[in-house]
Amino acid sequence: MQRCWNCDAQQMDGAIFCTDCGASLIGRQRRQETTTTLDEPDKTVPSSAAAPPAYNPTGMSLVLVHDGRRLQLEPNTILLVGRTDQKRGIIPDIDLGNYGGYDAGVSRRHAMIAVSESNCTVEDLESANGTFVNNQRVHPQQPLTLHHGDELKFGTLLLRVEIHP
Amino acid sequence: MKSDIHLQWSISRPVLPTSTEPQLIYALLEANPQAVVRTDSKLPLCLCLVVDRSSSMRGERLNQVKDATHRIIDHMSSEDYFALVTFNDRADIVIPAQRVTDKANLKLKVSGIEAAGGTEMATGLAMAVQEVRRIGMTRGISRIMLLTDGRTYGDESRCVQIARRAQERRIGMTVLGMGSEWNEDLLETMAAHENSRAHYITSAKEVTQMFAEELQRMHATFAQSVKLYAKLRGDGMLRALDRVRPFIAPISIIEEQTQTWTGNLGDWPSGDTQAFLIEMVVPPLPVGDHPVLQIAIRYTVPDDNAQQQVAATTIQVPVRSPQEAAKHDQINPNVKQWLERVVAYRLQSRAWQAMEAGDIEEATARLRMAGTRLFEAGETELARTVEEEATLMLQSGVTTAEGRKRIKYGTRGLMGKS
Repeated sequence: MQRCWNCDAQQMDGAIFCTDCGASLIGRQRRQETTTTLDEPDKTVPSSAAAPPAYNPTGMSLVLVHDGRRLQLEPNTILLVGRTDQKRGIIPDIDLGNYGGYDAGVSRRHAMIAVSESNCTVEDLESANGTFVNNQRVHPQQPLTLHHGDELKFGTLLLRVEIHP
Repeated sequence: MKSDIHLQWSISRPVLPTSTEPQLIYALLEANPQAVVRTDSKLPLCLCLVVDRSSSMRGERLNQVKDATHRIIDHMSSEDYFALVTFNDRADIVIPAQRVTDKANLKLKVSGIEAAGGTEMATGLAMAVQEVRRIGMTRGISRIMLLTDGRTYGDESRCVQIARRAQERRIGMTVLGMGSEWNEDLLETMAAHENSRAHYITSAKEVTQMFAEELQRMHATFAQSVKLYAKLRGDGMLRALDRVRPFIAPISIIEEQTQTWTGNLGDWPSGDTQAFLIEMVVPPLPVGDHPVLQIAIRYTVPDDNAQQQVAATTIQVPVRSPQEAAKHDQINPNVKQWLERVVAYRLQSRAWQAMEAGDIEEATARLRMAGTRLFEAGETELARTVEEEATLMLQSGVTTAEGRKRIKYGTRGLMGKS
């Protein structure tokens, strides 16, 4: 047995690269082991999962009609609506993946919502299944002003717009 | 006239020292089907194209696909069968499976395809399988080529089921993903069978070339259902089997009988040299020359009434005293080079897994080490891409879809550059 110089994992004699970390085991002084135990040292790797975005509890909010959940939107922001896809590095501000977005046909980059002090707009980002305001399909890449009480649909996921001055 | 597949092997160290512990040996097995001389014409082919015609394919993408399809039709003969299925929200058989006799008419139908609507893949696939099976070729190659630039909603598991059913009936699949938005997990799962493969196409222009290459490869298939049998002496263990040429891919192995492992190697075109990296653990052995691994490759010849043929070899390992072995303590550079690439492939694949699990630190470390391995294997350009993605990952916690695909498919396709 030998130990990897890089990660300290036990490796079989004859191994050229560490099966654990991939470091080269040749051309360095080998660290021979006398024991043949296969137990590897415990490795604790800290997790650095991103924290969910925080929303301001005043101003504009979107209410998920099917379960009444409220998503509050911070003023003076432009928010990406979609579904998180870690593999592709897409982390939308409003992640509808947690609210049945996948089944409802929400694209990973579905729409943008721009919230200012005086108004709020939605812009479809050429999503596969469309964005609808009061059942009218929004033209892609043309921002449309939202009003209090509007029904907003991403794919088939229905939300209600609430704007409190 | 046909001759056997020619097998050659080399091992990681020319001489092993005696030891009280098991040792790991890497063996590179090269199989050269070029020794086969065909006297008859090209193998007949039954090819069904399954083309995504959802809105996102509109414009240059669909035009390139149409051009590429025209060329495919040009390259097919009246012995071949061709079918075309398109899908968006629904699936249509544009060209039912038929002999390629009236090329002009087939092309006219291809030209009529228009892009619109969403993506519903499973029905399209099911129709393609039906078309290929309807012909029921007994001699020749059946294949489905799927081309998509997007993702399908809600029918992913059906897609995989249909793909598996086809593959088990010897209908191989070539899956082409275009752009960066397609669902690589789905396409990879669909192609995760030894007679199938997935490709990544960055621009529509590559479609023509990719189609042409696949067509050539299919026409040249000379061995089908190739299976490797590896019988290991004594108390040893076959730890891993990876294809390294023509592209890198792990091969699942099972211990089918005591000390005999098997792995499916798919269909082989005559132009490709196939190479495999075998990782085996050998028990403590006394001084002497030991035939540690018996290898047999069994396959059928598609134009020969499925007659089974076998190629065989035995890997011998010289074992000497530690003093004597130390005089020969050098690593076979060819074995090391391929191993280094396999290690890079494994590392990047584990990096994405760590990334998915939200462990950026581990993902970055794995990707960095993959970069080191690639750099040392002489793949400097790819190593740089890996390094850039690792830096991006560490700084922002994300990677680019394009970078990820470049790395994934780049590490896999490292052939012909050594």
